[in-house]
Amino acid sequence: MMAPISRAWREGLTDLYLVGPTVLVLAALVFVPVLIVFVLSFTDYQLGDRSVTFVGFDQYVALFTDPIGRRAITNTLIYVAVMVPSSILLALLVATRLHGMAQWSPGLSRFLRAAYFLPVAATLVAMALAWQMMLHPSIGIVNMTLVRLGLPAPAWFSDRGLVIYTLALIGIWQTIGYNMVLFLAGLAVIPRHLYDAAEVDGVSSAWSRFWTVTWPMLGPTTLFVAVITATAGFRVFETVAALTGGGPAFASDTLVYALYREGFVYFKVGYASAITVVFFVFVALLTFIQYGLLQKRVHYR
Amino acid sequence: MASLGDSHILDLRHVSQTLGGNRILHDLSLGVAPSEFTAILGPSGCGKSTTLRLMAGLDRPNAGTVHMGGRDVTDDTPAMRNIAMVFQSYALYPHLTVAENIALPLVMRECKPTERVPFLGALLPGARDKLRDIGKRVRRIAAMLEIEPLLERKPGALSGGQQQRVAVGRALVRDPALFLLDEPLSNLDAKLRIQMRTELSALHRRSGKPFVYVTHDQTEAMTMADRVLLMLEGRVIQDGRPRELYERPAAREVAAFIGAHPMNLIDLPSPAGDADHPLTRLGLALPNHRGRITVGLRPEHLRCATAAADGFLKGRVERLEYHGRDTMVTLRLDGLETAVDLLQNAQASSLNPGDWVGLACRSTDVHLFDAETGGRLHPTPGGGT
Repeated sequence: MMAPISRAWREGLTDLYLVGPTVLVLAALVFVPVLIVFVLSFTDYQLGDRSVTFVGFDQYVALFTDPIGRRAITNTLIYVAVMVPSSILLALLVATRLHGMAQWSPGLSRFLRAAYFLPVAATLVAMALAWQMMLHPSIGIVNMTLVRLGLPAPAWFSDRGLVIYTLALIGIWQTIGYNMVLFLAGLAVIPRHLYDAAEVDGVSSAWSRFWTVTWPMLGPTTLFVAVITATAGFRVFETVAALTGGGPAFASDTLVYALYREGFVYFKVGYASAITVVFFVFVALLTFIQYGLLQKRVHYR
Repeated sequence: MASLGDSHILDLRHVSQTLGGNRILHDLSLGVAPSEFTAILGPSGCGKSTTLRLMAGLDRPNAGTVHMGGRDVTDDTPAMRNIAMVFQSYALYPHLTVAENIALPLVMRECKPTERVPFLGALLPGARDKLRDIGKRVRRIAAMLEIEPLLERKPGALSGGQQQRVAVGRALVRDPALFLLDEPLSNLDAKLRIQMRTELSALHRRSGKPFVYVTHDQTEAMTMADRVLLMLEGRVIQDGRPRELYERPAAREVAAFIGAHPMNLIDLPSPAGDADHPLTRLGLALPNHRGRITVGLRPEHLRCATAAADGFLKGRVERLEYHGRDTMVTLRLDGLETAVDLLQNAQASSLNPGDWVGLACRSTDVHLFDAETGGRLHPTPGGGT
């Protein structure tokens, strides 16, 4: 005879039954791997080693003192600092223009939306090749045009001081479409009566209308766009791998590309794990700052 | 409509408006008298909000002109017309505090663009005095509306009624020439709506400004307004005091729209030469009318005749609805496909379903309309022709 189980127990078991599978899968696929990476970052483990030695913070010290490691970190920060604000600003500009254009030319507005969104949908590696052609130092269309106009023709991918900005430019081109769609969605839900109220209140120029209604009402959207774009910025990899391979002389090396090279080319798992943890901390910190500090200021409670 | 033209605060002259291929307004002319509370009443989609937006200057009419104080303001912005508007959804700026919301129209009107720059603007000479003066006026309005404790809060933290007051405050603060209110009470719960009705009426009296109040709720229009414009399908069907709309509806549509209980409308043939016609039995005649007619009878004006045979119409009780003070009796009319309602004192009522009842009514409470056009007909006393 089974002993009757109490109601609390029964409900507890039901909860476990419902949540358990998800927790197990999450643990196996996310939490445990993260933990392993975290632990490995304190070792000198290389793929194939029969034993591991704990080296404490040595890998982190190496990453932050080694000129190549520091190069990767600063490059990533430059990339994010250039790409994120430009992408957000340009996407906002494009979205507001296209939103207005939908009033007098819906067809053209739709066509341009699709055009701006194309880079998001396209295969980045193929697109990167197109960029390589266009930015070719001597026979690329960009430099040929510049030369014809009597301007200097920069070596977009081989100039060490320039290459990371070139990649940031491609990053902007690549993310504008996605951000534009998010902003368009944000613009579409701004209640029309707020613009009416602003007009009645004497907010007459497009400029003050933007600052009185549009910008404040886009606050939550902008925060979301900033978080998404910053995360994408820190993750930059495809363009580096397809166009420069981190070169010339590590001038376009980034955190994720370095992590790939150290981990999957040199099999220095410990070092790659340390890079991963640093990358993770950057993204987590940024997201925390953005959500923790700005959340309250964009939802107006 | 009297041609008071120049004594009006605002006039719409022959305005037409088409939105997305649909004609909303066609050749509409109306005026707003000074210090009057005008209600524009009508079902949704009748063009009343469109009319208000034209008055405000938020939209430009496709044809016709808007005049204020004898001047053509068709191309003027709302701010140039110095009108204030309260929106159904309040339309407060969620990122600004209550005080900033109320101050915004003043800041926009009185401060130069450079003085409006956050923080730095206040450092400019003169700006500080201006802002202090604006702050003083905002607090005065807030005190009047009893929202002083809320001044530093954001609209998101306020209840519907409080937001409503803030919206009214933002309209009041600039001392406008004309108040426009677009269904301002429809987002409030029933109890608050009644309270705000009283407050808005009081506010209108105190301010002495003309109010134009758009609503689909006849109770709001009838209780608050000095004058009601009943709109249907883009046209003003009747323009008059609330009492006129109830007692002398100009058309069948008005009769059907106005009244707490819907009016009974009975389609009948012409009474000419018919001694047994219900109208003739009521002692009314229509010597100049030949076609079919619609007889309008308000449930509250109908009585039961002492004997079933005495009434001008006869019917069988179909349903009784108890309302507390009154009972609504639904009768199926003898020989007609129509049912009528009559309102009876609940205490006096001793009817049961299936009873035969004769209907009685004062002949002055009978409304007659042309069955074709819906226009009001004027009967003469005396039976037969």
